[in-house]
Amino acid sequence: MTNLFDFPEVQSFVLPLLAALLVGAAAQRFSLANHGIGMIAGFIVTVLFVNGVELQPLTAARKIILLGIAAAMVGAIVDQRGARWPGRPLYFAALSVLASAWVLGIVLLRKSGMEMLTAGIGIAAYTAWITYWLERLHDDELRATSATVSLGLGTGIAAIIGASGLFGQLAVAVSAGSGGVMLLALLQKKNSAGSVLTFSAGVLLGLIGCTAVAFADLPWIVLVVLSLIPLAARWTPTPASWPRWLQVAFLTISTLALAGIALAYAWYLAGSSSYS
Amino acid sequence: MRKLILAAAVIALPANAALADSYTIDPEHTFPNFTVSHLGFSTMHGRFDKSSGKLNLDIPKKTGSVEIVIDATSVDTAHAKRDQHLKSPDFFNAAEFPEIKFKSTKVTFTGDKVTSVDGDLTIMKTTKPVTLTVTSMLCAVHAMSKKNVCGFDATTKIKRSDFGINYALPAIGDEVALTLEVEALKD
Repeated sequence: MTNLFDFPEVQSFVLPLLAALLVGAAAQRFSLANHGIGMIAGFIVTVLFVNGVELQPLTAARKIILLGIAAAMVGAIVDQRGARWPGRPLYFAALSVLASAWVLGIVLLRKSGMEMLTAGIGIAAYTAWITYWLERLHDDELRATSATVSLGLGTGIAAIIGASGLFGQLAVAVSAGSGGVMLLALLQKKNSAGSVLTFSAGVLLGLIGCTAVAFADLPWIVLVVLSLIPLAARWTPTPASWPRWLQVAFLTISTLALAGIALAYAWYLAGSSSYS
Repeated sequence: MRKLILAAAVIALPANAALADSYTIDPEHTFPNFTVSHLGFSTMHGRFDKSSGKLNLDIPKKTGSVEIVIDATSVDTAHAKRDQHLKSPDFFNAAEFPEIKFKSTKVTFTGDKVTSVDGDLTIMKTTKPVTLTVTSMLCAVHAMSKKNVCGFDATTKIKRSDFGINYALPAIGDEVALTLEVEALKD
């Protein structure tokens, strides 16, 4: 008999959404952390299903999981201390570049000369860009979660089109977890998403996008379109007089539109050939 | 009678001498391949198009060794999209772990024939002991190239989950039948 928990949709969408709602609400209720922590809780639930607790061999996917959790811990500490230094997005972007070197360095070293250089610059630039711009949204929960919901969904489905179900499930889990945090945000006044959400989502989605290109067969150009999502979330105008649900709807539509363009392009480039 | 024995010895000597040497695997005639259940409907076949390695055999002493390196990026199931997926981190993770290795630890003879090879199979940095059952083997002079060739067919069954390949379990079968069809040229 097929177990309900064997379905990827349950593992990567339903369960992380529920976990994010529960953990996010509990964290906020007991003042333990910003409810952005719900996103990483949802992500961890998915990890337990698709990877378990096994860390050996330490593959790129497992490194990304560890880095995402570490980034959430750093983000939570920074949130708790109320650190507000202006260069925080830049520092976090620099850390994400180091993270990308750890995850993808082994693959880059197998490439030669110019190919290694261009791939290395591309990976570092994409990871830093995503981390930087998501972190710039940490003060605005609606914009941050709109960006991470759409970027997670776009990255995840693009990874699946690029032939990696594993990376697809991990990215969709970030999207679903962010969705749970977004639902909690709708019930409150303007709140901070916190670096616990933005830094960890930046590291996770930046690295998953790059590994889907390097390890599977996702074209680089898809990442270029996805990289516009945090910018759309930041600059889409939503008057404060609007109800929060309308602001979220408007922001999510604008960011999902970009994800849709990226996915349509990925689908087009992948060709019509499919299998199951 | 003495002449007959002498003639037989002359014929036999080069063959025995050839069999006591090392061989290099001929990639044009060596295709590791596998079968796995596809959702229980049918059995899917796949093979690796590139492999390399060494074979050492000393039939009189009944010793030998086999080392085969399979290029995981060369997986071929006659379907480009499926091959792409098999190379991805869902299965062989070929960008990160481009080599699958088999290294023998014990070669078992029955008479002059190798009947099984125990060894370590490494997939994605995970090494497990396996036993290859040798179903056929021939060491002889190739009729056309006139080179000394040793060839064998060997099979084993593994569980892919033992090597961390867990994607789509249990729908896509856990048990994988691995077959090595190998030809090697004397160095």
